[in-house]
Amino acid sequence: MKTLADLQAIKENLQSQMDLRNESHADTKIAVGMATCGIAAGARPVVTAFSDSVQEHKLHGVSVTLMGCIGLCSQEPIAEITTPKDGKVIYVKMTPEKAKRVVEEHIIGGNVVKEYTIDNNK
Amino acid sequence: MKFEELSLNILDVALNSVRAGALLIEISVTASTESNRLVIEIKDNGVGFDVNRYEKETAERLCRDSAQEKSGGNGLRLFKESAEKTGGSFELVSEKGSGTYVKAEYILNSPIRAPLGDMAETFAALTLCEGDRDIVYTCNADAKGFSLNTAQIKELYGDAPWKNYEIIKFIKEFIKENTDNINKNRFF
Repeated sequence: MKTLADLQAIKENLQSQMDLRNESHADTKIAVGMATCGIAAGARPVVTAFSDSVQEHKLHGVSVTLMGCIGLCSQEPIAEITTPKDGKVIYVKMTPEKAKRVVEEHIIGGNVVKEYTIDNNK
Repeated sequence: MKFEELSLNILDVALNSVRAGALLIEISVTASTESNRLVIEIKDNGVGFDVNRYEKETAERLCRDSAQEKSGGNGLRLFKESAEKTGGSFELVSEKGSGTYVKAEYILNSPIRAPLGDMAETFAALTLCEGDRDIVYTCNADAKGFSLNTAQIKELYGDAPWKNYEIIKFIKEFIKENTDNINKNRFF
């Protein structure tokens, strides 16, 4: 079973990996709507999927964070992806599967997943 | 609108604490077979608010979409209902400038009580919020319990950034394993 003593090993392991980090995504940000409306629509597993996918692909520079309600509750879960190439893109009605695809195609591949964007779901 | 798991109510209410600028958020879950109660408490040292006006204000702040406002959009009200429908009770104490305390008491074996659900995911999501604050989670079931405090992680990391995915993975596994260890599918 995990104990707090395991934290020390994680810290040492991370320090040894520092040089291997890929910081090319430092200006990339994922924000998931986490107001009451977002949570009720299933935002928590979407955040988990983004977080896991970013970790899986070792995109250390990408930040995953939470945001409030942007007034489009019927479109939740909503995720805002900000990249240097495409600026801010809003994805609506997100699921964990869609989140994985957005990380792979938009953040890694550089191609916005148009079928999930707010502009294509009005 | 309703939440399938009490851990989602906890996330929702704790995010109010984040928005209130709290530097310390203390979450506790206590189950007791003797008193047949499951008690969830969330305490913060944020800006607090005028309880008499909260319904109006939180409805506006949390959810600006008018269609959704009619069906809900008020996290505290959902939390209150989740406890009271089991025959339990709800308490809200807040004052401007002195933080907020929320307590929801459930009948532990009520068939209509929602399950606690995934507190590991709730804690992990809270750590992803921007800004710096400490989060303490304490979980007790009869004589067994465990606790996790982000201050313990920060102390080890010193000035180094601690919000990395390895730590979040650790947090999730720590909470999941310790919860399973005390719960054994009996309480939550």
